[in-house]
Amino acid sequence: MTTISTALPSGRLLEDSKDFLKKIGINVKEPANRELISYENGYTFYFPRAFDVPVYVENGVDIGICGSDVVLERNNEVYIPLELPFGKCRMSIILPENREISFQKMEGYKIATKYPEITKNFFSEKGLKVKILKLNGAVELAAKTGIADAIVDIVDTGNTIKANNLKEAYKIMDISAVLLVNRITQKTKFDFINDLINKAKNYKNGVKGH
Amino acid sequence: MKKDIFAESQKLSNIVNKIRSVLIKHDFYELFPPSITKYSENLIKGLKFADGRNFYLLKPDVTSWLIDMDKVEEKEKVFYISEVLDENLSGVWQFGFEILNGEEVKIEEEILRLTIEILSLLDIKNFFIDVSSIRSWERILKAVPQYRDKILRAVELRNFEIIENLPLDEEVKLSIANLFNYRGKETNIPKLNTIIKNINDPRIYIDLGTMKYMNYYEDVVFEIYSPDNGYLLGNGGQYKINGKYSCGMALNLDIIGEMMR
Repeated sequence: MTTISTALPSGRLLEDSKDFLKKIGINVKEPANRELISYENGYTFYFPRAFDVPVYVENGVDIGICGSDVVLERNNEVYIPLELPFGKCRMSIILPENREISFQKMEGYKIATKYPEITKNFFSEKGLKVKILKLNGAVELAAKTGIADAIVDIVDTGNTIKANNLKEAYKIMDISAVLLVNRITQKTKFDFINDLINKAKNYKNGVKGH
Repeated sequence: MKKDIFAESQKLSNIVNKIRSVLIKHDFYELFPPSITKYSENLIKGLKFADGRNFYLLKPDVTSWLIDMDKVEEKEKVFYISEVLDENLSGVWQFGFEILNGEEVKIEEEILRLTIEILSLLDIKNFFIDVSSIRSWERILKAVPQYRDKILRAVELRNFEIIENLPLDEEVKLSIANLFNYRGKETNIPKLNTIIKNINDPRIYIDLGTMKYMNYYEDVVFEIYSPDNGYLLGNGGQYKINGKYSCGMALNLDIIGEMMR
C-alpha cells in the first residue's frame, strides 16, 4: 500500500483543510497530546506552522496545504496544481485611517510586513523604492506606533484593522488555500496524485455550483 | 560546530572516483572550467560581481559557459566537477558529462546508458529517468504566443487551472492537457520512442510534463529522480554549440551523497 505524507498548516487553515480532505475521502487524525505527527490509513500527517508547509513539501513530504501568500513569500520548488475552495482573503496595503495617498506616491515609504518578498516584488514592479521592515506578527502595531508609514498584510473580515484605526487602501492580490505537491511525488505517485487532484477539482466545482 | 570537511571530502571523493572511472573507460576526458568568467546574459546561475570596469560571474552553470564559448569543432567527450553557485551564494556540487558534436539520438542514448551505468556502480538502483521533448510544447507555444509565459508557468507549477482559465480554443486546451498528463512508454514523438526502445530499461519513462527551464535545451530533456529522495538526482538534455549537436547530464553530487548514506 502506498503511504502518503501530508503537511497540514496548524492555525486558521487547519479546520478547513481537515474538512476539505474528509470530503475527498481522506480522514485526518488529530495528533495525541502535544505531538506534531499522526497516522491514519496509510497517511502520515505533519502539523507544522503554516509558513513552513512549503519547506516540508519541497524537502520530501508528499503533499501539503497552505495559503498562496505563504507559497509566494517562500518561493519553494513545489508544484501547486490547485487552488482550494477555502482560506479566501486578500493581501492589501493598509494605512492609518486618516491618511489619503495612492500607492503610486509611496516612494520612500517605510512598510512593515510579514511578507517582505511579496512587498518588495510588488513595489519594484511598480517602479517604486520603499524600505521594508520585516515583522513576525501584529504588524498593525507598526502603523499605530508610527515606526512604519503603511503595512502590507492579509485582510479577511477587516475587523482587526478597523479596531486599530487603520484602513485597507489597496488590494495587492487575492489569497486562497492551495494544494502543494512534491516534485518527485508527482512522478513516483503519479496515479495517486492525479486521482487526488481530480477528486479535489470535482469537489471544488460542486462547491462553486451551489 | 564546523562540518568535518575531511570526512565530507572523502565521501565526495569516493563518489567522484567511481563516476570518473566509468567515464574514462568510455573515452571521456576531464574539462577544467574556470571559476570566474566575464558576464554574459547567456550564462546561467553563478554569482554576479564587478571590479569597477567589467561584470563577472563566479562559478556559473558549466553547460551554458560551454555554449557561450562557441568553440566546438571536433567530437568531444568531456566531464567536469564544479560547484555551481546561485545569487545567494548557495552552491551545489555537480558532476557533468557532455558529448559535443555528436550524432542525433545516438548521443542521447549514450548519455542515458552512462547515467544508468554510473548509478548502478554507485549502488543506486531505485531510480527513474524521465525523458521529455521541449519541441512537443513549442508547437503549442508558437500557436498562442501571447499566452506563452502563462502556459510555461502552468507547466512549471503543474497547475492546469491556469490553462483552463485562459481564453484558448478547447482544442488547444485539450492538446495541452494531453501533454500535461502524459506519462508512459510510447508517444507520437518518434525520437522519444526510439530512445526508450533502444535503452530498454524499465526505469525510463516518457513524461511530457517534464519541461526544462534552462533556456539552452532544444528538444530532448532528462530528469533523474528516486522515490527515496525528494530532490532530483540530476538532469540534462540536448543543445547545440555553434550549430553542433550536443547532449549532457549533470548529476547533483550532494543528493547522490545523501542517497548513499
